[in-house]
Amino acid sequence: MIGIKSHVKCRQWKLFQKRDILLYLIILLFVVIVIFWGYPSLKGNTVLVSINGVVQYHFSLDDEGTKRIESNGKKLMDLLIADADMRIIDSQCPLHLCERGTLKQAGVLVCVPQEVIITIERQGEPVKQTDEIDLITG
Amino acid sequence: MKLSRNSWILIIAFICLLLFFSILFFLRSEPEYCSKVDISLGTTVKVVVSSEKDAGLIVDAVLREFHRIEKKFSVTDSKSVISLINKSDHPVEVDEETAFVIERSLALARATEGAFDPALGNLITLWGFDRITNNDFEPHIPSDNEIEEALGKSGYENVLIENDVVILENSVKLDLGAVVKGYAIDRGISIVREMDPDATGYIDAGRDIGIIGPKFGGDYWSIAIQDPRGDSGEYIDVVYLKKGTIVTSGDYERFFILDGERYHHIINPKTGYPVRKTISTTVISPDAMDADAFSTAAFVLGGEFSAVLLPVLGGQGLFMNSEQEMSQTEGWSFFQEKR
Repeated sequence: MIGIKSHVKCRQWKLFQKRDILLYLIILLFVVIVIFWGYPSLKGNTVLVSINGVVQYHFSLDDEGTKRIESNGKKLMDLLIADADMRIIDSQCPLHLCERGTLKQAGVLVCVPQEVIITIERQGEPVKQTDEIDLITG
Repeated sequence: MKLSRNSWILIIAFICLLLFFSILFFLRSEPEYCSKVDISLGTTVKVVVSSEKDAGLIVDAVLREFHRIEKKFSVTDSKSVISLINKSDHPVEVDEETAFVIERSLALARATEGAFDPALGNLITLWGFDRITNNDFEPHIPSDNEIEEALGKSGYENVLIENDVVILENSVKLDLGAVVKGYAIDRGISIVREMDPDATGYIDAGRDIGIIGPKFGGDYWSIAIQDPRGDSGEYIDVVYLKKGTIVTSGDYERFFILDGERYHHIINPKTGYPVRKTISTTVISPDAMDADAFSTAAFVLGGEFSAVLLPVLGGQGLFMNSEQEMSQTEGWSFFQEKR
């Protein structure tokens, strides 16, 4: 047995041969792109602000700072964009319920008295198949 | 570039893996949800539908129905059916739908022994809760005499309906605000089912929720109940629904604060003042209109009484009193787990 074994030429598995490195780098780059593609982020999204059912403003969530929302020359509210998220501040409505929560938390911001709806520009609704909270009552 | 044999094996394995996951991705047939948000009935309405038919068309049809119902049953629109009934000093003949909504409201008022009352229009106007979202709203506390007078012109017993003719006695005024949102949710769900019986999704009207169908066709929707004294995102419970409706009444949505005191929109039909002993009630029921009325009634009656009454009427509930103590109906726990 020992004699037979000594005649078998064992080929060593060399994962990193010099000429293949480029190929591995391409595969690695592909995997990284796929991972980042699927990573949920609001960064780069456009936010639409509609007043009385008509879209009046577009903002990029990358454009950080405070944006003033007006209708017929009258201030309705300010929008604060920070960390790829948005919230309503200094609303001119009586109850200020719209100032609760952020766009990332709620998916949409609404000021009912002033008929302002703030949504992210996209077609489908990303309902997640997880145990997270889907809806809130109250 | 000449590749080694091992590299060729790796490339083939990678392509196979890619093909495998691509096939999995296309076979999972996860429905995409079409969602739209609008403002109707003085609140935010979000309709989320997944359908093999045109989900966008279905969502639009539901939102149109909300606007139609708002126009018809609003108390602030002078041309609405309710305004016409309230303004008239003689019997008013109404259409079949209006007769149904009023009759159902009266039945719910009788079932809750008047804790829910659709004929509190004079009290609600006196407190100003029908105008609370207007920018020119100025809060004031009515005097005891004013409340006494408005109480005399309130009460569902003064509303008569026979053969689609409505009679309001003792100058009472209808205000269906407590149930019309629920009615709109019920109508919205009916419309979706007429257009596609297999559609799934939900209707969320100011956080009163009606389930159209299970999430992704088979899963539960996880619904959190907002902590009435907590920040946004703080919950007191989570329930799981595949069907039915869930409605919450709270003292924190429509209110004003005067001299450090909070005055909210849920009025005790017996005293004429905002209810003090409850801060939040959540009700699960097959129909949203019933859930709406039960939730208001439970708020007025308090958790102890409601925990007994609600299951008899066909609802389950979770209640929080002004001491922030929680109570619930026996059947509530059924919804706290996925089963």
